[in-house]
Amino acid sequence: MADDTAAELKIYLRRLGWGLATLAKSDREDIVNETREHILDRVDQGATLGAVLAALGRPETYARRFLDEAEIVSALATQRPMTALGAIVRRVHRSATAGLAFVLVLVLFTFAGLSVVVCVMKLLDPSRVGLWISPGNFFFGRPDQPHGRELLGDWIYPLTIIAVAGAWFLGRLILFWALRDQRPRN
Amino acid sequence: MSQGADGPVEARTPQLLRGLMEIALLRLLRDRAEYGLEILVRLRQDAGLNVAEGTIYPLLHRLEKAGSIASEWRIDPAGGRPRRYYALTPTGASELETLSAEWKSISGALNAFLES
Repeated sequence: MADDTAAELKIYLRRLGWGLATLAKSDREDIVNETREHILDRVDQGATLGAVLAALGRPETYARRFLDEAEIVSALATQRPMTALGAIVRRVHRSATAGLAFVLVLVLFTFAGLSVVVCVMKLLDPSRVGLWISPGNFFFGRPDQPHGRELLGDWIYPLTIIAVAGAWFLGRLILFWALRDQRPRN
Repeated sequence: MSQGADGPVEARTPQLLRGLMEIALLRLLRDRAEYGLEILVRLRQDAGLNVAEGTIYPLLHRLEKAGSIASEWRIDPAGGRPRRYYALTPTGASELETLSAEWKSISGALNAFLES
């Protein structure tokens, strides 16, 4: 291999290594060494170095594929919702599924959060906080001037627990469904 | 499943063919351990999947992390070059059985529907 070609390969592998910086050292070295051997094999078979590198893609993009795979495997293995949420958020800009999952989870968590806030307000001001219904109108929270009648009463507490648990359960399902959908980008 | 003039199949129909490469790869490793380039060539030639060059190693890496396959470095007796060989694990063999059965069921039903 000519000096300039060897230098080009060296630069590619160095940039690949930088791109894999967040992986464990042994994984990083395995990937870089394997990539080197793959490239040398292909060149021995008659391909030009430029063609092989072009087929692999930019080193940063190529490294990203390993990081994506590692992140998804890790999130699925640990089953931690916050890890899964982080992985989904990082894919929102390049995956419709991730975007949809993020919006759904955001809506669910917002709903659960608001329910908790109203529940706490109910503890502080039991007579004015709740779900107020009047003809053609309803209000959930603490109205300045209560109209109509309050529907939930003390049921607001168990219902809030159910809402939070339901949001957590559904949110997890959506996150891991979306994550599994992201998995094999082959 | 075929290679076409329009580029790698997975680039054209990613949703449809997702996972099929995984089945083909596990099946390929059922017979014997192979290294990356060998796997790439066989997936293209034997399984008819026009696998993009930059996708095979990330897939192998993921399957290894998931415990479906295992790897070890060996010195190639022919060229004296170190190569990372991949082999199917018992977990991978079990997954292959499940995935193959699912694929046969789906493809059988779809074929029957298309020919009806």
